[in-house]
Amino acid sequence: MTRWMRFAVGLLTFLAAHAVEVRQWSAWFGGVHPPWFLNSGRSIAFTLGCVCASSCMMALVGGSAERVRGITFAVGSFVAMTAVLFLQKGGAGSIFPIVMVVGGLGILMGSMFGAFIGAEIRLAVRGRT
Amino acid sequence: MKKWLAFVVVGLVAGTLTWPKSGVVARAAQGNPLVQLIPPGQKQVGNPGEKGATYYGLEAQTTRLTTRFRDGHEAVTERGLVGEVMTTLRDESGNERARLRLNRIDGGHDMLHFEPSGGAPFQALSDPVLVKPTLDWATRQAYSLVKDGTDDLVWDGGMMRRKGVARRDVESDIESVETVWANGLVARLTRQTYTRRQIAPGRFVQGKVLVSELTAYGAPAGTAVWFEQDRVFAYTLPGLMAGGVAIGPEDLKANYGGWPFTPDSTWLNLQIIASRHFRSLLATKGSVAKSCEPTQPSRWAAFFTPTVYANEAGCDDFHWLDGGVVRQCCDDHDRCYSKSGCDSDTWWQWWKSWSCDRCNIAVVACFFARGQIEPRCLTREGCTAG
Repeated sequence: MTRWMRFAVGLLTFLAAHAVEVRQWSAWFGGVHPPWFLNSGRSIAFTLGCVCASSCMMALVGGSAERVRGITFAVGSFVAMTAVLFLQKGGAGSIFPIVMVVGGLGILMGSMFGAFIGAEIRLAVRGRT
Repeated sequence: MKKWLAFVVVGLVAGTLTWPKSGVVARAAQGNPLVQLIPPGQKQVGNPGEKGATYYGLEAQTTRLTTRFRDGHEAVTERGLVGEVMTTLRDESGNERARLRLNRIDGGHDMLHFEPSGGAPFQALSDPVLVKPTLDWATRQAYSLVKDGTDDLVWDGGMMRRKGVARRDVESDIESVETVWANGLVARLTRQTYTRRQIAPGRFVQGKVLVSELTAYGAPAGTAVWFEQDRVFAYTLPGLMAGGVAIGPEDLKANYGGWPFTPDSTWLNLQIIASRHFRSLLATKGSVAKSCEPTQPSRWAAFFTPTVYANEAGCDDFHWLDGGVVRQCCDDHDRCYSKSGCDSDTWWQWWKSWSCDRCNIAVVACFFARGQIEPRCLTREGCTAG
């Protein structure tokens, strides 16, 4: 699987998770503040869970040969996160650099963890050669 | 003829004097102060060193203040239904020494009645410019009058005192203060001495402290400490926040240049009560006040030139943290942005001015500093020297 594919899937994963949050914001995620994954604990768990699961699936389907996996996927999600942050109603908030760093680190951790789990499962199934 | 002439002259003079002239109207119009218009977006801030509307709003919810002095005197001050204030001062044996009553007589003025047990009573009119009739003020005034006497009284620094008598430092005479507030909140302040300890990484404190223990309907609800020597204010509210908050002079440097005032016993009690009250509102309602919705630019315009709003209560785009210890960092950052006039064009323009960058650096430092405070160290025997 090409890097561009992993990038695109990472991007689409974040956008899909965000779309779900926007749709179910009041019912599932508390709904006090504007729909945004860092505005509630449940949405943080949901988004990072989606990133982790999707990255895991990517690693299962076609694992990267690199030692550290999930970075390209995370970059795609990070780009989507930044776009959503600035395009949302009212624009980015007053601490958006911190939001980008913390959100980006969360996405990176989730993506790398998912890719690691996926790669381990793949190796276990196919055998470590 | 003379009579007629005199009558006409008197009539003319009287008519001239009583006739409403355009000049009088003009002078009256000139005498009215002009309405001071403030340009849109320009904020007017008060003096941060003075107690403001929030303080007096919170103080107005206090129903009883019990103050014990080092010499054994105890003052109980209560607020009545329509705002009247009554102080009763007793000595260490429980004998009544004096009563001070403040009765509101109109929208702003109060009539003071002072009745010492061993002297002549008097009444006086308070000046609303000089006196805010708080429970704390009434307590200190009653104590000062009993200790210094009531002859030749003058207004000095918002207090009545004998002419020529030096100002009394009542704060240093206070040993303990109990503030009974609305919603079952009671704060009890005592003076203590703490051994050297580390309340947060790199933050060592020791020496004389004011400790305010908060209870809600009798159950422990929080602790606030003012470290006099280190000028550090720290508090914790179990159940409403993890860890604690410690605010030193360096944390206030960007906005106020350090502590703009020295916290006193009454302020400390009200501060922990207010922190508990506002955090409870945050926990139940999600906000303390209605947020202001600014006009929205188009989405594409916002994408290319993102607008940074400094008026969203709490941590913008990170509201998951609003109930935590870093909430105050975000509010400080909002205030810093507002004060410095920061927006999307200036948030990182160090080559022109560091004012907005200082706000950003301060909030990052605040994020790192908070959450590492050890609440146990706010109690006297909670922890030892670090």
